[in-house]
Amino acid sequence: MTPPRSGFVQKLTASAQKHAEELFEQNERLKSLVASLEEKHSLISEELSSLRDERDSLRTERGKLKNVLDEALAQNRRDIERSALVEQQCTSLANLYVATFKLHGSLERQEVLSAISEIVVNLVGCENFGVFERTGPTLKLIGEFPTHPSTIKEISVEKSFVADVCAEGGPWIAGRDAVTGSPVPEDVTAVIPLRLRSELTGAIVLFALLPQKGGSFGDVDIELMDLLTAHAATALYASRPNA
Amino acid sequence: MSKKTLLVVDDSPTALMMNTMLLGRQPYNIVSAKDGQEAVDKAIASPPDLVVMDVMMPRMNGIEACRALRQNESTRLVPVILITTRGEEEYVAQGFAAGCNDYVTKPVNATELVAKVRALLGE
Repeated sequence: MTPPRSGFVQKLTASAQKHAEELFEQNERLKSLVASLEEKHSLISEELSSLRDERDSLRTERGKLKNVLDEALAQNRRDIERSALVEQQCTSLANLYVATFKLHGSLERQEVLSAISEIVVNLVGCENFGVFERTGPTLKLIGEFPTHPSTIKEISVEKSFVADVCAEGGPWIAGRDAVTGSPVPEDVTAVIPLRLRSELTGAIVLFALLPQKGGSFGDVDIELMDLLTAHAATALYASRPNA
Repeated sequence: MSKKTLLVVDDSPTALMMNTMLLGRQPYNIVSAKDGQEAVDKAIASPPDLVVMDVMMPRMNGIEACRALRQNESTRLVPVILITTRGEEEYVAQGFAAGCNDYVTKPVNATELVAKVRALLGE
């Protein structure tokens, strides 16, 4: 007969063995889980590496596209600037065409003076000016903007600011061109000589500009003044018989 | 789609020719008038899509013409751009009080005028 103590040990041993078996099984499951996780980790690492490669490739592609976009934007800006320049040139040409057309559109003195007046007011942007024509040794006032009577009525061809600033070349512009000889009245902003060949036949004296001009002339204004130098002189000369 | 019609008004033949050329380069039909009264008559007879009008004109000036257009049922909604020699606030305020939608100052800047025309035509 087995003593009671021995039975207890047997029970304990069996329980320990069962527990050990459970631990062993659990250990096996964990090992399997670790192996599975390692496999997944490996797959994810590969996927990550692939994604990193793809990301780097996309970054490179993005860089290239950004360069293309920057170039396209720069080209667009250049095109806009060019378009604005062409538009400006078209406007300048239209200005010059209209001015020439109007100046030579009539042989009537009043109509020629109106054309000069409209060009100076509407295209140059000055509504305070006088048109002078040579009569012997003086330039006499023959036209002015009606709401701004000129204070200068006669100018000497030989000795005057007009004679000095218009000694040769094109228009004289205050602030841009030097004053030589006779002092130029403070309110004069420009003098446009009227010439037939090289002979001074008259002048258009501009006083205050329209406020929105900001006191300065643009390129198209200078071109219009150059045009007036030659064409207004011709138009006025041609209209003399009808003066 | 049919072209929109602009009524360009100025007593100065030079300015009228210039503005007609500037706006004629765009896809618009241009109708012209040489003073405010003629502009109002033409606009009422056949309402344009927009009016570009000088302020200083004989018979009826641009401010009066603008007011007349606003009082007529067929033209009260036609956009009006005034061309003014004076850009100071008091002169511009008179134009807006008469019902103009916008204004440009002389000498007319083509780009500015075309941009304002397009904006008012919703282009």
